[in-house]
Amino acid sequence: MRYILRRLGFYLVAAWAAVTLNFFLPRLMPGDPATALFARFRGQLSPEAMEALRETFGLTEAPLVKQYLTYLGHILRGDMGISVAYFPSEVSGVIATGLLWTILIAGTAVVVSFAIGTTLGIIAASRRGSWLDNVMPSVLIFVGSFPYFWLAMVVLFIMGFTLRWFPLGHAYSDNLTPSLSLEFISSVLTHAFLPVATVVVATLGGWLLSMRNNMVSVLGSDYVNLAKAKGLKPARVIMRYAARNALLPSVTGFGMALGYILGGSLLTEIVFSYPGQGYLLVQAVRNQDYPLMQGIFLMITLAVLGANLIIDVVYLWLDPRTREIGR
Amino acid sequence: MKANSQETTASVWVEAIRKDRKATAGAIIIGIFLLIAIAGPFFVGDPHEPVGIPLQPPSRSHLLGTTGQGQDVLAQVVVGTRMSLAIGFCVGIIVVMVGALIGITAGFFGGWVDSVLSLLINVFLVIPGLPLAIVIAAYLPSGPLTLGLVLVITGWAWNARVLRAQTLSVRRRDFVAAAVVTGESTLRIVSREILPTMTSLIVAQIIGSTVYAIGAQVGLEFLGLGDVATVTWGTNLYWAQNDSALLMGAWWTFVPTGLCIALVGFGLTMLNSGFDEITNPHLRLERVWRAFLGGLGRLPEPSTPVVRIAE
Amino acid sequence: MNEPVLKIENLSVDYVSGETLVRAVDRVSLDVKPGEIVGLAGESGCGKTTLAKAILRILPPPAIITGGKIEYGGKDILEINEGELRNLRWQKISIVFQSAMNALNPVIRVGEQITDVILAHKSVSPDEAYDRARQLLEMVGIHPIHINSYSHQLSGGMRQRVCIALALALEPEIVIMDEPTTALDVIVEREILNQIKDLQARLGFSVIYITHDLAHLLQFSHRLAILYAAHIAEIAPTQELRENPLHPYTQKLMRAMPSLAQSEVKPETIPGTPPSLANPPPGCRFHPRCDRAIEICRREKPPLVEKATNHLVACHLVS
Repeated sequence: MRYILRRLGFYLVAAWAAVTLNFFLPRLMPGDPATALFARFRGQLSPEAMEALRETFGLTEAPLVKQYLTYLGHILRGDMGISVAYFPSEVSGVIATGLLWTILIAGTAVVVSFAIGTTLGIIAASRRGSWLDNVMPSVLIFVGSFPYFWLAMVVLFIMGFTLRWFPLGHAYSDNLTPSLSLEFISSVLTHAFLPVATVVVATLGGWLLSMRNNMVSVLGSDYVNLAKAKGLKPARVIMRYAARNALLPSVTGFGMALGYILGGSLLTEIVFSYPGQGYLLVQAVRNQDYPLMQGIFLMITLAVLGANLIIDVVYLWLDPRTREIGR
Repeated sequence: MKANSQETTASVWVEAIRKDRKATAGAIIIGIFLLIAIAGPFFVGDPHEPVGIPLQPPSRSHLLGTTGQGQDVLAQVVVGTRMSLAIGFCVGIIVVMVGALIGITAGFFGGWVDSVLSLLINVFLVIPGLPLAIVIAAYLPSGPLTLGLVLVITGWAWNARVLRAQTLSVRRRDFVAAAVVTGESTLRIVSREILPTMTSLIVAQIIGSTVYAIGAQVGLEFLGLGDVATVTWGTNLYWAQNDSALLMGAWWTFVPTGLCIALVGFGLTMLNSGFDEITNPHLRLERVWRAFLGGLGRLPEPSTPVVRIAE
Repeated sequence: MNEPVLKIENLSVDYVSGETLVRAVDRVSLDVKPGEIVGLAGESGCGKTTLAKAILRILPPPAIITGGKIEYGGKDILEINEGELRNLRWQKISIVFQSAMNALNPVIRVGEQITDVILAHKSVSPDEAYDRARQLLEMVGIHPIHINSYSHQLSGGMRQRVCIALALALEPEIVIMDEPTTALDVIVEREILNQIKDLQARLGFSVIYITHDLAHLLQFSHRLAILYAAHIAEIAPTQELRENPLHPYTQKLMRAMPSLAQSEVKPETIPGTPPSLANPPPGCRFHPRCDRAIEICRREKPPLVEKATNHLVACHLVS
């Protein structure tokens, strides 16, 4: 329990750091922040939008500390200001429209890829010298060397554009309205398939290789050696004694890779015009919609922190040593 | 003495790369791309110049076809190599330098310095890099400098973490403890005693960070956060997406650039696989063992193999 | 004397190192009789752990067995297949590793690590296996409540006792003990040694006991083999060896022991370091450290010859 509380404390600090970064970024722009920011938008935005922007960043005449506290207050209430691109919608509302889609794509992709890659890593390590051990990692590393969004473009070009097996974009058919009908769900699944598959294929090699290398280390350990000496079945030695322990560093790596993979997944959404955070992000960049951009940054950070907390709980369950040592 | 020992480490690397087939392949790929980056631009035309009908498929006059603006794709790929690799390698090196500075400081001094720096490292590790990079880049004037800056900000933490752990373990060794007791200056201890123990790790990190830098740079430029007027691999893909090349079936506008990115990333990763064995000795032990058995036409077995050659 | 249960003949083990092989065990012969405690002593790096693990063929890469015979139950362990090997392991021959900390899997409960071996070899129900595991723990003086503990929750001594209980789980004929007390403090070490002696007397299994500490072996082994740089230097019944050590290395080892009887005699140290196995000296491997070395020692490897009944020694000076 102490372990989880410590991690929770750390995530709170990280969240606070992200919020603070968000607050100071507009103020770090060269020159007077308010003037600089507004100079950029003059003529582009209506006076109402300008006022919304001022409000969002708390760019008032008040002292910095007071501005900061006001900003913290807003964030705590879930108020991230008004979007410029989708004026006069609130940033939180705009983000909410894409949150589930991103979680669907990125979450599924990350879990599926980790599961498949790790399993392949175990097999590769236990069948050293097989094609799965010799050829497969190199092939997957090569595929993983392409930018995710580029793979997305190729996949879309072949499977969507040329072969017409899959839709070219969006989260579900335009002629459907969201409901729990079979038709809608199958539409969502066919639309999600390519984006998910792209991210899975791009990240598979990394998991395979790290698990295989962990396995090779663990297979040389005394406890695996003893398990062999015990005359246990090879499958039990591999799974229960080796893979079980080799999984630990992989799970730690999973937490750390999450943010990175999410980044790639966001870019993939753009290619598929998938209405998630990535798509909103590119709208924000194109329209210089700083409140939306920063809102998305904050939201994604919080999502990653939350996911990491879940991973910590899993790790706690996997490694009994963490249960006592408050590490 | 000093030069001599450096020579030996250099030859150790050459040896490590030469011995590992994957590392050799990686080194060759990277060598070719460096050549393209340096000399290539002199052999192709101006990549900005519209030279033909937009979105022409590959032909004799334009080997890789033309873009949506009627520019030569080959020229764009070749010229883009220079900028993309330059940013990639520079950022790769700076990222490791920043990581080393912070990581080694934290590991060497320990105590509250370590606590504060570790917290900083961990916070930067857990905050997702791409969204942070986008937010920062959006506020700054676009261009290579901005790009480099945000890539360094979002990329240093991983290296710092690894080097901190390494410093901690080296710090505990006798020869470092002895140097501390005899009152040698910190800078001297770090540069003479600690850094030499981590050279292979640092080289591996530079290679890994370059892979990261190229990938992240391409991603940011694809979003339009680079200077869209300069020709780089990322802006090539940005324009391909912007000109709806995909929906026009113009695969040649994005396939060559993507292949180049992947080949460089793959080459660097393969090059690094030679270093894997330095950090994970089990891999090397296993490899020589398997090679030996393979030489006798034997496959590895779960139990210690019996090869009767001593009789 | 009855027939040996285990007969090792001319066993050689090599480590693959780059393009060359490093021989860690060189044509070693040793047999173990029922109920016998055979001691195997030598400095670290002399190949004793390699020998121990080679018997069960659990040496990890880059090791290979390059020759010899290990006879057990009428079969050569080096020739049997994986299935037969699995049956032999633990049921017939079990092992206690040097570091119990590393030998126990940190993320699996002690109980499961004992019961899985019982369930793998015997047709019993899981409940019966757990009952047996509790008995085993009690037998080595550990409260059965620890059946649900993880190894990090136990003290060093307790961990090693768990490993001993584990080794006895299937009542094997031979238990190999590879420096089981090295990682422990002196008091715990004494307790565990006494326990091993007791259990051995009660259950009657054979022991191959490996250590760098000759003093232990002189106290409780029946027969003793001295290993030096991958070779057997001397092998004799313990009583005989204590009274009449023939090999200069054995003699030096004896004098290097702190003597309890004559506390005023300072233990000697053996000058020099053990040779590297990658590049061993020619002739007798001990000659660079031997103050009585003569010309032939530098040239010829001394053969192992029987000087007295069951007393074998490899030294030119003796023959």
